[in-house]
Amino acid sequence: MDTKLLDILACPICKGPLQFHRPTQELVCRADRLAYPVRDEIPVMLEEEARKLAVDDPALAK
Amino acid sequence: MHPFPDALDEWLASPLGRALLAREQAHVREALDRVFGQQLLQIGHWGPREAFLPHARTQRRALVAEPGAVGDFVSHATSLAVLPNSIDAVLLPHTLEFEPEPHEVLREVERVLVGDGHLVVLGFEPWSGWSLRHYLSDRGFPPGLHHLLSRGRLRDWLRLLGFEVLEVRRFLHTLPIARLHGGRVEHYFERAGRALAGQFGSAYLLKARKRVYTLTPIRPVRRRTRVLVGALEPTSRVRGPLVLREDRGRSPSV
Repeated sequence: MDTKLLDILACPICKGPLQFHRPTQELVCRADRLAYPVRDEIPVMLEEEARKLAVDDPALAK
Repeated sequence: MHPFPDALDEWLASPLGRALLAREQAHVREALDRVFGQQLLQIGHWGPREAFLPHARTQRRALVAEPGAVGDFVSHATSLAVLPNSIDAVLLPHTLEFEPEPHEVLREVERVLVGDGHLVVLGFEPWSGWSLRHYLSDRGFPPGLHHLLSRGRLRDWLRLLGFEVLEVRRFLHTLPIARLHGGRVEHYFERAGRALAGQFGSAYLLKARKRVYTLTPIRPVRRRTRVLVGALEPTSRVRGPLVLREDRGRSPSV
């Protein structure tokens, strides 16, 4: 994924910043506990495609 | 979101589509000539990825694609996954005409643009030769076109959102008939159209700028407190007995 995109990408719901979780190749919004997939190097920033994260999900660990 | 992305791509690759795209590319290149900054965002694909983005003079450029289309990232135009105040220029190539809620798209554009950021919109005129073919077509012309937006309405919306419209250009003076494009006939039509009826083209390019007005705090003007003469400074700076005798009768000034 083009990491320069991280400078402008935000969560489509809360418009907050995202963190790139490298092991699962996902963009994580901590506020909404959602993980947006990155497929073929292209971030898919759609709410319906996002994975809901449990409170103890490793993607939410700092 | 384009309802028939394949049909649209096919149409844009046809002689008529290519002629339109070439004309639009020339106008977008001119419109983006003096647009600088860090990031340009094209919302919605229109032809190949390289159709407009190479003309941008910003350091970075990205294409936001609808679900099912190819771009740098996928997002709905009405709920853009972009940080507020992070984009220097936005290009909307007919995007508003394919979206059922164009006003929502403009609101998102206003949110992501920085102050003094540029917006370039391409659109078809609702009353023109090209729009006539759209009204007569079953699934829109070009394929998937949802509605047409007049410049007046677009201007009004932009003004409400705090944009200043810098320029509007009309072009595309030929009819949407493939035979008339791609040769001397098209060249003749465009030249004659520009000269005779510059305001009656079938397509337009609108360039606007987001204006931000900051608040200037104005403090209440307080009266300068007067200081009693004599408390901080001497009552008299004049030396000599003659002057002192003259002041004796007066009340002390405040």
